[in-house]
This record gives sequence, structure tokens and C-alpha cells, in this order.
Amino acid sequence: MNASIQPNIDGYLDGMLSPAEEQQLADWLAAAPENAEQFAAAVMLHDRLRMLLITAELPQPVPSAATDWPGLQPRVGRWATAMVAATAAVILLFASGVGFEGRSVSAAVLQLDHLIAAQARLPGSRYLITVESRSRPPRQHFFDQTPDWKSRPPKPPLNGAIVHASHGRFVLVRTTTAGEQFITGSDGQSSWAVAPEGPVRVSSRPDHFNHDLPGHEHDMPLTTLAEGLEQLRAAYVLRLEDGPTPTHRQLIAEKRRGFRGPQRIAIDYEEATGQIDSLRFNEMPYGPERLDLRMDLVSTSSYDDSFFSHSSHHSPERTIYEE
Amino acid sequence: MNTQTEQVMRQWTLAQPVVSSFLTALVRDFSTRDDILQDVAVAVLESASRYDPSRPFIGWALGIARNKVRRYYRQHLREPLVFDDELTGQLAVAFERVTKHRSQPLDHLRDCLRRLDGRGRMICGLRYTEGLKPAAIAMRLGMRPNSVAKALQRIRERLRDCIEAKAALSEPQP
Repeated sequence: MNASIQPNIDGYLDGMLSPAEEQQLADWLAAAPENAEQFAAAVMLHDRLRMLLITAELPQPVPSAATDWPGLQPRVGRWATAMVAATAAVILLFASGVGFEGRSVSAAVLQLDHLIAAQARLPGSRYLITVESRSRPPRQHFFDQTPDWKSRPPKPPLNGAIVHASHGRFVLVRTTTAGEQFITGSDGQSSWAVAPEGPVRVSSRPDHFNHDLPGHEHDMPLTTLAEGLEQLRAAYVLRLEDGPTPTHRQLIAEKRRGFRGPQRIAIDYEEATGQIDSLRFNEMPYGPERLDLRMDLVSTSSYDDSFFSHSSHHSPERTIYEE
Repeated sequence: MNTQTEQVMRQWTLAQPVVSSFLTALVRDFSTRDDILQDVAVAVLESASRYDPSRPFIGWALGIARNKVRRYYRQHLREPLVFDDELTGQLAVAFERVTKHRSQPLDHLRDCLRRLDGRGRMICGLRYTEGLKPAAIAMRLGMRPNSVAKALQRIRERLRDCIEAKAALSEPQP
């Protein structure tokens, strides 16, 4: 094995090589079959790592507040920390100039902070979700051929769904094609799903029933806007545009290469209050699909704590199944 | 489902890891790889009746994968592949050979991963679970992209050493 080439192979897989270095690697690969085999063995290790870790066959490391990884602490319920960190991040980014191309972009970053802070102040919001288009039809999965996969019920449609969100808690109401309501939610401590029939499912994990929500897998959940906005800070290039009225503005976020999430997000908001009137997501990942969807503010209101509990959304005689 | 299709499905289950690795070698991005892998799986199943059982299945599946990569790049991506068609063919042969002779030690990977320290597992988690590139990991952790890339290199080196050591131990003694 040629050990000196290994850093180039790793660099190639991580996207760290220059075009000239990539060409050097290609030349080395073409020079001898054993070179190509060394490369294949390295890629197989890389690919198996992905498979082992993505299927959660191994316990995932849990960052601790006592470790050197403050940026990875959970954000839910840590608004004070988030605000201090946000301010520090903006100062650092301004000082270094990393990732931001000009004064208008800096203004956009400040407006993002304004929006995040406003979400913390607002009592609660109700949004209507509209799926505007799918960038491609649903894929046929290989295992769709098996009877077991086919027997699973289809996901309730997102189009026309209503999401109630307040400080990390949410209730999402979707209507099935039969006209029945399929409701999922979280009170911040636990999560639950109330299907039209069968037992009510409850999990002690607050994000357990986020699985079929677009954006969930890329930390851009539609149900907790403030968390989603936090993700824009590092992963997106931001700019400001005029809004539909003189009192409104539009924040445009376009994804940087190497990050995951929707390609583009347009946020219309009232400048004075930071209240978000609508969000439009382009190419929002949703399983094998990419959706273009928008969320329009229907109303703002305070919610009773009990609203985010499953018991508010089904009859008392329903069976509860704890997962 | 006829016997030929059943046989192809069974063989595909065994071949999928190497086809997945081959696609990763060409496209690198895990999410793009997943998209193409699904296309390949569907094409393999649809072409089951055309598979000649006297020929190696992996080579046949890798051929389908090459076609799917070409088509995907034509339809979705503007930038060209790093490796040209001839080299891609050589790589397909290399993957087929490595699967026969060198893939077994990877079975030790799970044990070796458990030996990584907290920092190594954290970086691995961000790279492989979240699919982040070194630049994105660096932003998350407040490091420089080159430092993250170097850390990933060291992690893989440690894992390779661990796998080889375990493989050597498990080989029958003469």
C-alpha cells in the first residue's frame, strides 16, 4: 500500500482537493490496477462508516456542556444562551469577514437576529402550509416491491396543513385524503401522534414524531421556526430585499455548498416587530422528493399549555400507546 | 415474482454495499449517492430478465451504476465528473476485485469505531451522520477546515490500523 497517497484519497472524498490535485489523483489511479484497488478499499471504509453511523447502529456521541463543544449544545429551551451566542457569533463574523460579502449582508445578519429574537417574544403563531410544487415525482423505492412496504399507510398530505407553534412546542394538523385529521405535536417534553384510528402514540422524545415533516432531517423543522432560523446563520448566504409594502422586508437565504437543507428560503416579515408573515422554501428535502412550499401566517395568539398536550386532540376513551 | 427476479433480488442485497461505495467514489456527496443508488436498484430489478447468470452479478450491477451516474450528471449537475469514462471503468473493475479479496476485514469496523475517543466520534458523527463537509464541520466546531480534514484523515488511519490488526488476529494460525 502506498501510504503517501492516502491523504489525497481522503482529501478527494472530503472535497478538499484543488482541481490540479484531483487530476494528480486521477493520473495515479490510472497508472496501475493496484492503485485503483487501494482507492476502492479506502472508499469502501468511508462508505461503510456512513452506513454504520447513519443507521444508528452505534450510540451517537452526546455533547456535554462540560466539553469543548459549546456549539453543539441542544438549543431547545436555551434562548438566553442562544441569544448570547448569536451576538458573539455576529461580532466574530464581522471581525473575521468569514462568509459575508458586504455591508448589505451584514445588515441581513442583524435582521436575522432581529427575527430570531422576535420569535422568542411572540406568544404563538398559526401558519397554513401550501405545497406549491414538487421538483420531481415520488421515487419508486427498491423495497416498494415488497408487500410489507406496500401495506404501510400513505403519509397524510402536507398541502393545506395547519401548524400551531409556540416556543419549541407545536401541533401540526394534516387532513388525510379521506377528510380525517391526522394530528402530531410536542409539548417540548414529549411528542405524540393522533391518527384518525388506532391508539394515540406518545413518545418521551420531543422530536420523535417529526420524522415525516419536511426539513426535519436537515435541522430545518417547520414546526419550530426559531430553531430553523438559527440554521441560516452558518449554512446560508443572506441578503435583504424590499418587501411587498414599505413596512415589510424580505430576507433571502441561499444555501452554501456543502451544507444541507432547502436551496433557498424567502422570509417576508414586518420590519418593526419581526413578525414573519410568510416563508417560502425552495427544494425543501422531503424523503426522496424536493418540495417548493410556503407557510402563511394565519394568526398570532397565546396558547394554553394544555393545547400542546395530546389529550386536547382526542376523545378520552382513546387508547394511549407509549413508545 | 419469477425465479430469475428472486435470484437478482437476492444477489442485489449482497452487491448493494459495493455498488454504493462505487457511486460514492464517483459522486462523493452522500445524498446524491443515495438518489442514484435508488435509481440503480430500480433499474436492476427492472432489468432482472436480461441478467445472464453465467456472468458475475457485481460487474453487471456496476455497469448499470455507471450508466446511471452518467445520466444523473447529464440531467442534474453542470460540473463534470472528476474521473473520465475510461478511469471509471477501471475503478469498476477495482471495486469488483476488492470485494472479492479485501472487504471482509470491514466487518471489524463496528468494534473499531467504539474505540474512538469522544472528539473523534463527534467529528465522525458530523461527517457521516449529518453528511457535513469539513468546512461545515469547522463552522460548527469553531475549527479551521484543514484541521477538520486532518482530524478525519487521522481517524480513518486509526480505523484502518485497528481493522487490519483485528483481521490479522482472526486469521487462522498456520
